[in-house]
Amino acid sequence: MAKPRIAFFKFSSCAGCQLSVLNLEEHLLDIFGAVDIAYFVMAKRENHEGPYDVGFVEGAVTTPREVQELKKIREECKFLVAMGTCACTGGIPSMKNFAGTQRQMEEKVYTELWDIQSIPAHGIDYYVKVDAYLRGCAVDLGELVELLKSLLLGVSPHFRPHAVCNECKLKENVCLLVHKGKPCMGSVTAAGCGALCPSLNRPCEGCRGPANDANTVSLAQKFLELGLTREDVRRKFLKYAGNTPEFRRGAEAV
Amino acid sequence: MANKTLKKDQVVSLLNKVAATYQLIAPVADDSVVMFKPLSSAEGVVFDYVNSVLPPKDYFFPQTEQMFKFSTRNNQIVINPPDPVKERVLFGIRPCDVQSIIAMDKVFDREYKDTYYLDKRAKTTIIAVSCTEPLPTCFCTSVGGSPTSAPGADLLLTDVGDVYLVEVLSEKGEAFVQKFSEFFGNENGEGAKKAEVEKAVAAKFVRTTSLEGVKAKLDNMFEHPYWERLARKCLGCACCTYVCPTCHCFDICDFNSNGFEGERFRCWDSCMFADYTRMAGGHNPRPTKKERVRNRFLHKLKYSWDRYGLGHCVGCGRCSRECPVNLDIYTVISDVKEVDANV
Repeated sequence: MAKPRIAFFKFSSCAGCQLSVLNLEEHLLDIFGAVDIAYFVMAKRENHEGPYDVGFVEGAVTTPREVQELKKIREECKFLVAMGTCACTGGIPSMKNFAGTQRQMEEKVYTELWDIQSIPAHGIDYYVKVDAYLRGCAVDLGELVELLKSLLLGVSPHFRPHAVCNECKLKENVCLLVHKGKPCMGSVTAAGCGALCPSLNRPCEGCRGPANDANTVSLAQKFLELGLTREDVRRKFLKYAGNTPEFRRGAEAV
Repeated sequence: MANKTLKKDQVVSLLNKVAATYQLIAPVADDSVVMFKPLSSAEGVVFDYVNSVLPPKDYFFPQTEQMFKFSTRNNQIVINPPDPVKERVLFGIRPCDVQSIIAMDKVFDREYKDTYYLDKRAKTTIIAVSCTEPLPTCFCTSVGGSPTSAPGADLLLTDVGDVYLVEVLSEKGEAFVQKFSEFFGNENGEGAKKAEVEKAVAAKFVRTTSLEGVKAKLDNMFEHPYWERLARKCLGCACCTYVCPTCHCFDICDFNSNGFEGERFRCWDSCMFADYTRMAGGHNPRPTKKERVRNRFLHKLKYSWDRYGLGHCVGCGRCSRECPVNLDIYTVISDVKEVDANV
């Protein structure tokens, strides 16, 4: 059997997720042994045209040209993965959706506006069908390997959609929200990162987007009780996943 | 067997000797967090802690537990049992946690015998230590427990000054005392001192209620709007179920390491998750948070009585301490007593 052909694509994003893939040193040789990396501009000089078996897409879609490219990528890839928060929910670029009109945003960033065509930032599933999501800013490498392996074995990957709190509790961390009064978003944010930030004493920023059935309204109230301003709370929920109904509800609750 | 005594300055040497033959599991502190850890010596064991963040249930029902290993090379399927568990001594658990193990026994030791749990249970000698300083969130006495008695443990130690009074509660406890007999003395009036300790501790409880009438009322509260009120607040983070010493839901999954070898494992799950009850095809009998929150409290306070004849809340107060939005089972008990069941 020929090795599956894999491609990595990038839209509006920091390229950190692609870079993370290269940080998989421990597994890279195994991965190269099992798949054929056909297209990965960041990592390779020689890149080949599609079709591909699996496409990993990083970044949010923020221009009409990206929409067209994305649609072509969808046609070329049998299995399409949204890699990282930007591709999943719009991520950091999606903050602009809630900060004013497109024109206002363009004026803030660029001096020459005649060639700027910007549309609200969305995850890729706003435009095309997505087969799997790798959440996180940046993606969790364990989940990436799990997904690749599951694809090779033809089984469902074991991603659990529960809150970060679970992983935090299992690590027996002191709760930052309850015991230290820090505005941690772990209770509404999807796990899979191994409670990375809270384990390092930093409150969860919600980069992985909403957990299954997240009650953001209740958490927004809790944040107000902790002394955050309404604007603080709004910003927290709109930072990574304001496009999702769950986080939007949290932002609008106060 | 008659009560014994154990000099406080002898405990460390006893535990060191225990660690030489058994796997010793005891509370240690990391920063302010107390946790039960397997130890190779008594170094670092804390004796004056109030309670651990996670209960010691991990040693009977681990977070993640291998069920079997498999290999499928050369067209042959080979299944191997998990690595065997060593004989263990679980030292220093509190009476509420002992009660929680009794509650878990009822779940795992029924018509279907859960060998994974029962094997660990049989190989563990439990040495409990009476509580002398309840936390403000503790309420074991309200749910039928006591900070100074631990039926179900093998030995119960109570701090009565310079010595611990050692109550031998089972054959396993007796065997332990005989094996390490050089450390134990005979009781000489310490039993009377324990009665004083008991009285002093009982007076320290801030939270006092009782379960009287709660189950009978809950029998008719399945469709009560009270659950909706709780659900609006609940974040669904499931912290309560992870810190609960009697929660025992699990999921079973396979881990395939390279396409040929792997293992089947089970890991903690939670009834607070939407996908916990979701079935193949998508139907979910507990579709919203209301049904899930209701299930958790009814399970602790009603279903457990219906099924096993005992409560599944032991009053350890862990969920009260860890809930980010103060959804507190103690308050639920008080609320249930007060709400109008006929609404």
